Amino acid sequence: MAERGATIPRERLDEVFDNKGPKQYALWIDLEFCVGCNACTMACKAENNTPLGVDYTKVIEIEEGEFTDPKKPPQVRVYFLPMACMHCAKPACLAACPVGAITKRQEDGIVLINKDKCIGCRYCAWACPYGAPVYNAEAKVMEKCTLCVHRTSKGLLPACVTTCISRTRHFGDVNLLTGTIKEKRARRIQLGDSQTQPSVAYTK
Amino acid sequence: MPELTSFSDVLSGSRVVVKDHLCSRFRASRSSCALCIASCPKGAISLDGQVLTLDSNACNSCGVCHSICPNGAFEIKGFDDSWYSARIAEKAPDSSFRFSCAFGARDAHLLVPCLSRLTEALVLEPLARGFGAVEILCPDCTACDFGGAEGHRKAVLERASLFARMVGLDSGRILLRETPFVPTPSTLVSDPPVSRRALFGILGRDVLASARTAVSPQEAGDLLTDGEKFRKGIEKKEESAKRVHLRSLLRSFSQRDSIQVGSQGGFLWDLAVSSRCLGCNVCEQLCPTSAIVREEDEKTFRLVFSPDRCTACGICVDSYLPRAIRPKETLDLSLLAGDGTIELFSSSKQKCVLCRIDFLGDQEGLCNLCKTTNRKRETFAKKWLGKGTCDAASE
Repeated sequence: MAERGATIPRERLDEVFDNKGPKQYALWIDLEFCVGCNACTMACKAENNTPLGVDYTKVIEIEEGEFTDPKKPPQVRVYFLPMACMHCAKPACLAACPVGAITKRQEDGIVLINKDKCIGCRYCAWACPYGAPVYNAEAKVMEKCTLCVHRTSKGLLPACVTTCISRTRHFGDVNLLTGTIKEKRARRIQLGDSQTQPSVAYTK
Repeated sequence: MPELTSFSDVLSGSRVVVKDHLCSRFRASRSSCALCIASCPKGAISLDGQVLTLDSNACNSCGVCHSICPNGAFEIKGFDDSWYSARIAEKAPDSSFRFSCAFGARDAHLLVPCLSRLTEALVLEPLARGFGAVEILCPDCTACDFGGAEGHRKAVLERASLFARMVGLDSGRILLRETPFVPTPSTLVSDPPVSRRALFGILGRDVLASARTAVSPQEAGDLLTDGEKFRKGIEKKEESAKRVHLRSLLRSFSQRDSIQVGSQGGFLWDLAVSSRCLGCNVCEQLCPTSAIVREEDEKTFRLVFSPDRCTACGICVDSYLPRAIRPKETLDLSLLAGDGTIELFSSSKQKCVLCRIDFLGDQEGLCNLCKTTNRKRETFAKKWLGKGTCDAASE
């Protein structure tokens, strides 16, 4: 039997209008400083009041290497990758949604799920290359990072950015962030599938 | 002629009511259905986002949209199919029943605004009532300013002939005849002139009636957001009156032969679901007529299909991301007259240990979505931060 699953066909992604507006809010995550404390995860949970198991932002923790021979120094390392919604220019979730519940706001480029329209089919989770949308079983709808739109519309920073203990996360317009990144000469890495044109920038 | 009952009927030129919740475009953003927009002779129908809008000044209530919409999203107030069938029932059975249009033969038994307004059931109804044949007296459509829906008229007649064959009638009893074009239309569509006294009488009654049955904006749903309207809309499921009419007509015949037709340009579909089904319920939730219903218990998941309710609107196929649902190439038309159900798919069901959501499969543990999501994230982390990339960065 074929493995159950769903992927977004490339041609459907091409159909999505390139929604680049004048402004695009985004995050810059400087991985050089991330210590994997998960403060962002907790701040996000507290701010958005999400139930157990529903995390808009997660820190992926990977251990690699081995320490088998006690005579030799251990060859191990741990690294962290905080991941949330990338607020792509061409969101795969938007292309996948059967009811048009997902929109990319023209004014600030934030990708939002309309919870009134969402029917909880989880196609967006299947389609997203970053696994950003999560299912809220209590409300029976999909949810994901909104870049704390309720805070940023009042001029505040997103909860994860204000909480981050090591100043890993920065928030702002993507052009300003790119300028800062160039100034600091950090290495920018392009995460994953460039077809969706993610807005969140990572450096290390 | 149906009575005018409300002042808005007098004022508005249009008798067409759009039922949003039956429109494919409203229910599924991935639907590309544009049958009514393409066929409206007056170009009165347009799409505003996901909602159909009707220009009531341009509309002439010809009813082509009612006939062409697979789901029956258009209702013609007053002149609905039951009004026409009542007119057919009034006539004493004869050797033939003649249909014609507003620009066609005046001596026909029944004039419809446009012959594309006829539904399969209306064409078959005289045969069921004992008429020897049905004649469609059709003038030259290219001369008519209604125009634009001849293709649909042909399709309806073809299907009506197929249905006639199915119930054991000679399909040669449905005839298309040419008739001279009469440039002045009969006054069938427009309402009769109303005297001033009658008009104010109607207005008075209307005001009193609306005062008596006043509903608050909350009840009327005027204060709902677009999302809430959508949610309410997709929860409302009903079969269109024209499908109910056709099915009851076909069931009134005792004979039902099997007739194989292609699913292209279809009227109903015989669906098949592959083993890739995710159990996402999109087909069930978006189907406007509840043709697909999910039956679930603790350990099993089943999809049950009632082919007689399917209108081949294509919402389930267009919306479905895993592409597991497909219409079969050919289908048996007699499914329409039957009342049986078909099991499309069944599977055992497990609860994911991570997300605590049910998924289809035999093996306990993680659901495929959790597995895929974790794999995606780990791949990114390893690709950009894993062994080797760190050294490259420090060089």
